[in-house]
Amino acid sequence: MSGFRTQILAQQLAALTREGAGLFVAMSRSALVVDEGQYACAILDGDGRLVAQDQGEPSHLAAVQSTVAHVLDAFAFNLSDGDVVLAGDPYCGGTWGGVLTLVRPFFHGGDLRFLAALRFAVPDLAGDIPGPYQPGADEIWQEALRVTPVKLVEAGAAQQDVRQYLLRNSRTPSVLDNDLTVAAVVAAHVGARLSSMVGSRGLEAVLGAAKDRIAYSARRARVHLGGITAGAAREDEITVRVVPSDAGVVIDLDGTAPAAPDATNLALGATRAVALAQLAWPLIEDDALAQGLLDAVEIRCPPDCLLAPHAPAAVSLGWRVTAPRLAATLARAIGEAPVIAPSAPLLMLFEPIGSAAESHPVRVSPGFVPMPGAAGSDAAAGRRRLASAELTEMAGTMAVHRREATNAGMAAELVVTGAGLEAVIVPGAEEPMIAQDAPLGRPRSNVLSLQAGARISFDYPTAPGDARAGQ
Amino acid sequence: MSGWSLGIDVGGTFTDIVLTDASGARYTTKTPTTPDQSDGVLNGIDKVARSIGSGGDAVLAECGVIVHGTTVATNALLEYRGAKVGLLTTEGFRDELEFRRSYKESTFDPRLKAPHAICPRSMRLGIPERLSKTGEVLTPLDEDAVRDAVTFLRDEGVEAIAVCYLFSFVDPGHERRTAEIIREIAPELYVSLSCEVLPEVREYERVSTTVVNAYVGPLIERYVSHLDAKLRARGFSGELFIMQSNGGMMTAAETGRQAVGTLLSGPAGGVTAAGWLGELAGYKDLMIVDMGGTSYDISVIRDLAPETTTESWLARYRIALPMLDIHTVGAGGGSIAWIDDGGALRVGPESAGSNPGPACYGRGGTRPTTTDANLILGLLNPDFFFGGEMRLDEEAARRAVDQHIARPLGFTVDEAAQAISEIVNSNMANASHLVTTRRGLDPSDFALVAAGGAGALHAGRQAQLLGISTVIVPATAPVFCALGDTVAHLKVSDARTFLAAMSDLDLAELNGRFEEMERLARARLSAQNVTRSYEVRRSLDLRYEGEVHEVTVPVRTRTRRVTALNLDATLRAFHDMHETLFAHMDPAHPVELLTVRIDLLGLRDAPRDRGADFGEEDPADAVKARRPITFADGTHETTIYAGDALRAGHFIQGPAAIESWGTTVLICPGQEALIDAYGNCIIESGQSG
Repeated sequence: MSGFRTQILAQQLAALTREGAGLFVAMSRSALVVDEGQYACAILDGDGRLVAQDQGEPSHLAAVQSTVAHVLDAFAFNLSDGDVVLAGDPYCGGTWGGVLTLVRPFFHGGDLRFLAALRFAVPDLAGDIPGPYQPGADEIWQEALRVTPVKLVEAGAAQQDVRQYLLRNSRTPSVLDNDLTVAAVVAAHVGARLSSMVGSRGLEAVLGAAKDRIAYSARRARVHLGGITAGAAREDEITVRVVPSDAGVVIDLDGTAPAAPDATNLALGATRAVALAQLAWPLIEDDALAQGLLDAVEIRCPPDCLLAPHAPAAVSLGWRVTAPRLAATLARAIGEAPVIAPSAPLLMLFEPIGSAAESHPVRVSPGFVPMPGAAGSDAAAGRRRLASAELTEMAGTMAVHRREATNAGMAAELVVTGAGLEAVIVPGAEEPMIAQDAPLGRPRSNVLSLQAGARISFDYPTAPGDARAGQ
Repeated sequence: MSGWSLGIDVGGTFTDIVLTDASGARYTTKTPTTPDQSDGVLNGIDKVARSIGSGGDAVLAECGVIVHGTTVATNALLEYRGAKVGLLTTEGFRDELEFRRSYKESTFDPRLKAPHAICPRSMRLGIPERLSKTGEVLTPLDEDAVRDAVTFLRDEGVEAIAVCYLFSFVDPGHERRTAEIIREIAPELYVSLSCEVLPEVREYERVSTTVVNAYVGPLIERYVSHLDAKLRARGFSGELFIMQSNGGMMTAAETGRQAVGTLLSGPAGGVTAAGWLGELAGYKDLMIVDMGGTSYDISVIRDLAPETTTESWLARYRIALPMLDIHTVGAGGGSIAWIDDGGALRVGPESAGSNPGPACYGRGGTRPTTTDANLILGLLNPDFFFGGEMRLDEEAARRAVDQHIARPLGFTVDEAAQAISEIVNSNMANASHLVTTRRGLDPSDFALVAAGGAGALHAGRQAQLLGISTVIVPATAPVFCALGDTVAHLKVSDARTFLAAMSDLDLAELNGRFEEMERLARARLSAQNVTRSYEVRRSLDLRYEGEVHEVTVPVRTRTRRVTALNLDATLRAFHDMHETLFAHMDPAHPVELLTVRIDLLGLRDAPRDRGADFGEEDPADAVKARRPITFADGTHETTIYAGDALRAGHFIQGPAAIESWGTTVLICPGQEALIDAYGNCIIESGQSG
C-alpha cells in the first residue's frame, strides 16, 4: 500500500525535470536551445544513476548520465555542497563539441544524495569555423574547446578564472554567459525543490522514490523491448546485430568500419542516443527517461570504430551524417521504419571570420524533412521550430522567397540581403545549392564568401518510410 | 429595460445560468446542454425564472443585458465541422498552415498523423504579390490572379476565404484590395483578413489564426443571429454580448467578424469571475482551478490582472490571439484509472466523460474514475449528487475499482480508491507548480480559488500540497463561469508589430500607433449602449536585443500620450519583470520593442454586493449528518453541513464537508473554514505535505 505514495513522489521527481527544462528554455538566450530544442534537464541519484530526464531532442538521451559519470570519476572525493561542475567533451560522455553539461550536487547528512544536471548547446565554443559544425576537421581540437570536468563554482565560490576562460573561448560570450547563469539558477531551483521534498517526506522516502523510478523504467523497458525480435542488418560501413537479452536488448556493432579520418564519426554518447530513440521512443515520449531504460539497451562495439571512436577523432558531423545511417540500419534489423531521417540541407552563416570580437553564427535551414504521411519531421528534430520567414527577413541578413510542399517533399529558397557574409555548407544527405552573379569566393577551403543577392535553394525530400508510417 | 441581467455559460454537459437583478441579488441554475445550444439557453432561462416564481418571457422582457459564453466555435473546431475554407497567400507560402513550423504534439513520434486539414492544399492558392519588411511593394498585387483564385474557390463551394500575405501587418493594402475583389465576385462569402484578425509578425501564427477564424466565423455568425432571433421572439429587447477568450465580452455583431476570439471562452468566464471575487474578498494574487468531468484548468491572476498568453492551440491549430492563460491537464472527475505496463497506477488523461461517465453513474461505465474513488472514500454523498437529482451507485464504483485496480495491485478497494485520489491530487499539484514556476512565481504566494463542480473536493488537499494558506470556494462555484459573464467588461484587445530599439524610439510614432489602435478599438465598441466609460491599457512587448522571447510590459500613463518619463518607467519595469521571469536583468543591455498592444475596456458597473452581516459562529444548525471520510492522512468521522443552511460568520473546523447543490466542499483535518459575507467558503490551511 505504501507503493502508491512512493509512486507519487517518483512522479514528482519526473515532473521536476520537466519544470526545470521549461524554466531553462524560458530563460535561455540561445536559439539552439529555444528554437532547436538542444537541451536536457535531469536528476540523478548519488551514484550517478539517472532518476528522471526531460529533453528537447534525442541526442541528449544518454549523454547526461554518461557525462555525470565522468564528473563523479573526476571529483570522486572532492565534491561538496555548493559546487557546480561543468563538462562538455565527446570523450567525457558527450556527443559533440559545444554542448555543455552543468552538474550541481546535493548533500544530505554529509552524503551525496542527488545531482541536478542541465545540458545545453552553445552557439560557439572555439571551433575552427563559427558554430558547432566543422566540415574540415580531422581531429577534435579543430571542433570545439574540450571542457573536461571542471568546477565553475567551488563550495559556493564562483571560479571566475574558469568562467572567463570559457567566455574568452567563445565567439558568442554573451549567450554563453547568460546560459551558464541560467543553467546554474535552474539547477539550484531543482535542488531547492528536492530539499523541500526531503524536508517534508524524509530522505528515505525520496531516495526510495528515486529507486522506484529506476526499477519502474527497467520493468517497462523489459516489456517494451521484449517485443523486439533478433535481427541483423548491414550497410556500407555499419553493421548491426540486435539480440534480445534478459534486461532488454544488446546492440552488437561488431563489423562496423573503423573511425573515419573526417568529422563523420559518431561519439558513443550519440550512438547510444540513436539506439534509444529508435528502439524506445514510445517509452521516452510517455514518461521521463530513467536509468532502467538506459541499462536495458546495451551497446557493444569494436574499439575505435565509426560509432565509438577514440580521441582525437573528429565527431562534429556524426549526428548529421552517420546517425541517420545507423538509425536506418537498426530499423532494418528490427523490421521497422527509421525514426531518424536523412539530414536536412544546412548552411551556417556568419560574419567574416576574424572580423568581430563577438559574432553570432546563424543556423540556416528554412524547412524540414517531412515524414511520410505524418506531422512535422523526424524524432531527431525533437522540439525544433521552423524559423518565421518574416522574422528572418526582419533580422536583416536573409529573406525567405519561397517555402512550399513539392511532390517530393518540401523546397525553400532564400536570398541573402546582408553584405560581406561568409558561410559553410554543412555536409549531410542533402546540401543546399547556392547561386550568385559573381563566382563564389573561398576565403578558406570550406568557407564561402556570399554576395548580397545570392540565392540559396533547399530541397527536403520526404524521408523514406514503410507502409506503416503515417498510419 | 429593467435591471435583470443574465450570464449564460454553455459547457459540454451543462448550461449554467446566473440571473442578477438591480439590487445585486443572484439566482443560479444548471440545465443540460442541448445539441442546438440556443435550446439549452432558453431552457435555462425558463428554469431560473421558475425558481423565482416568474416565467422566461417575463424575465427576458425585463432583461437589459445577456452575456453568453458559447462553445459553438470550440466544438466546431474540435469536431472539424466548420465552414469550407479557401486561403489566399503570398505566392510560394501556401503551405505554412500545413508545415506548422514543424510542431509536433508528440515530440519523438515520427508517425504522428498530420492534423485534419481544415483548409486542404487544393483550396490554398498563392497570389503573386510581395511586400518587403518595410512595406515597400516588391511585387504588385496581381489582381487578375486574385479574381481567378476567388472564382475558382467560389466554384469549389467555399463558404469563407482567408487572406494572409507576408508583411500585411506593415501595410494591409494588398489584403484589403483582395477583400474588395472577393466582395465584388462573391459577396456572400465570409472574409477573414490576417491584417484584421492578427496584425502581428510571424506568418504561421497569423495564417493559422486567420484560417481558424474563417473556419468558425460563418457558424458563429449564424448561431448568434439564430439565438438573437429566438430571444427577441420571446420578448428580449436588450443587448446580447458574447464572452471572449480574453476575458471580456463583445457585441454579437463584432463577434461574428472575430469569431476566433470566442474559442476557449468558457473557462475565461471563470477567471473573470475570480478577479471580481478576489477584489471583493480582498485577495489580489489568485490561482484559479476548475475541475470538471474531463479536465483540470489552472490559471493565475496577479495583482488582480489575469495572466494572458498568445501561445494557445486548439484541435492542433495555433490560435495566437491574446487569451487568458489557462493550462489544462487531463485530471477530471471522469478521468479513468488504469495500470500501465510497468505496474504503475495512472489516472487520465482518458476520460469516461459524462456518457457513460464514471461507473457510479450507472450508465454502463465499467472503468474506475476519480469520481468513483471519491465516492468510495466518502467524499461524495450518493444521495446528494446534484442535490439528489442523480443517485450514485457505490457498489458499481467498488466493482470497477476492485476489478481494474485493487485486485491487480493487491490493494483493498478502499486503499485503491485512496491511491487514485492521491495520484489525481499529485497530478494537479505538479501541473500547478509548472504553471507558476515558469512565470517565476511561487504557488504558496497565491490564494486558491476552487471552481467547477469537483474543484472544491480537491482544493483543500491542493492547498496542503502546494503550501497555499487560503482557499476560496465561491458561493457560486458550480456556475462560476456564468458568474464571470455577469461581471465581465467589454474588451477589445489589439496588437501591432512595431520593431524599434528603445534607445531610438520615436515617441510621436509610438503615440500615433497607439492612437490609431485606440480609435479602431473604440469603433468596435461603438454599437452598444451598456457603457460609455472606457479604460485603455497599453503595453509593449520588449526583449533584450538578441533574445528570442519577449516580455509584455504595461505602460503606465495618466494621459492619453506616452511620455519619455513613462517610457523610462516602462523600461525599469521591464528589467524587474525580466528578473522575475528569467532570473536576471541587464539594464546596460540594449532593449528592443517588438509589438505594441492595447486593451480597451468598456467598463460596466460592478454588481452591487453589500454582503450579509456576520451572525453566529457556531454552525450547529447546519449540521445534516456525520459520516466517515478518508482523507490523505486516514479516515476521520466527519461532520457534514448543509450548504444552504450556512450563513455569514459560520466557522467550521476540519475535518468537515459542506454539501451544496452541484458541489461538495471538503475541509481537511487541521483546516478551518469561514463563511464570508458573500457566502463564499474561505478555508485556511496551516499545514503542507
